[in-house]
Amino acid sequence: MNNSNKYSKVIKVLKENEPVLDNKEKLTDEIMRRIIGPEEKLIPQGKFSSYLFSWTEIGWIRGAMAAAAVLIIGIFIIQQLVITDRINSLEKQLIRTVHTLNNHEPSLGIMQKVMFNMVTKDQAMEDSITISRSDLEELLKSYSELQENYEYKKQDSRLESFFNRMIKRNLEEENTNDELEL
Amino acid sequence: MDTKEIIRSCINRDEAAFRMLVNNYSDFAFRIAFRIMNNEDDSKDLVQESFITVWNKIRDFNPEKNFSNWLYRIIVNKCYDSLRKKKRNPLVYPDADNWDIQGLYSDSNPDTRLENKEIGKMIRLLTNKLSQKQKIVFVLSELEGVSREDISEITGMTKTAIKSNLFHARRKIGEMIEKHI
Repeated sequence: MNNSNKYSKVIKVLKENEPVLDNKEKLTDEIMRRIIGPEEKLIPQGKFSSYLFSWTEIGWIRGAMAAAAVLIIGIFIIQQLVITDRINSLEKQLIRTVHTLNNHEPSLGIMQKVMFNMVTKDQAMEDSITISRSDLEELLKSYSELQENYEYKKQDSRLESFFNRMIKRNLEEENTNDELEL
Repeated sequence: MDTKEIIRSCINRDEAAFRMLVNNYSDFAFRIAFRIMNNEDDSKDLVQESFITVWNKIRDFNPEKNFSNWLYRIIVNKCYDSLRKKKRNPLVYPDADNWDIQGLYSDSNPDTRLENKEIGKMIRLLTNKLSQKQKIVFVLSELEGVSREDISEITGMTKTAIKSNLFHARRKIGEMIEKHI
């Protein structure tokens, strides 16, 4: 008997011998038991949740959501690594700056040392801190506003006399102190 | 009461009608599930799950359409999910290569009725090397006699994919027959 005949005969045997379901009544009762009762209680919730989450049963949406989740987690991890790396580099930079300045000006505070470093730029390139142009412009703008404000206030005669009095008093105090020291 | 009327009653949540529907179609559902799963307990569980899905979703079904195809689709999807889970935790059949299906397949006495266990054993051995899709296409086409149009409707596969899966399934089963019979 050739292979094709054998195949046909085997398929015929399998087709003719249908699996038989025993205890059909028991199976039917079990199905009915499972649909009656819980359904009455769960209809509003079940309907609402199936309305809200029925899209989760669609295979490609599930796959796309899983891929998106993996992508977002990946981006989050990379972002954390980059941030940690930058913080570490900034910390090293700060320590180097402070360490260098400690040798020259031990009396200065940390912030003053950092500012000093930014202004003098006497550190090597890898030890420098870069300020953005916009920050610098904002700083200059604030400074000029402050100066303009000061000039404006100075024009006020009452304020001017107040400033003059203050300056005079300071000078007198300084003179007194000088005399006492002498 | 014909199937359409029963379905209309089920849509109106008539439990007696649904019992009738389960009675009418449970043999059919078990037959498909068993031919795919090859295991009585799994098949019964799948039949239960399938009818519960039918009850929950019957309001979305158009009674004018073919109920058998819709039930086929539900059962096949459940089987597919179950096979996928089993693939992750495969059952071990220690004597898989030594099953004697020559004894089950008897030329001399074709009228001998095979038990469920024997049918399951025979299908399992023959379809052992098939992918899930190939197995489902094989069962629907060769054992259930479903047309390719209906298989396409049931499984959502294209006709070309069905043709290709069936071709590979037949070839692999042919090899198994040559090896064991």
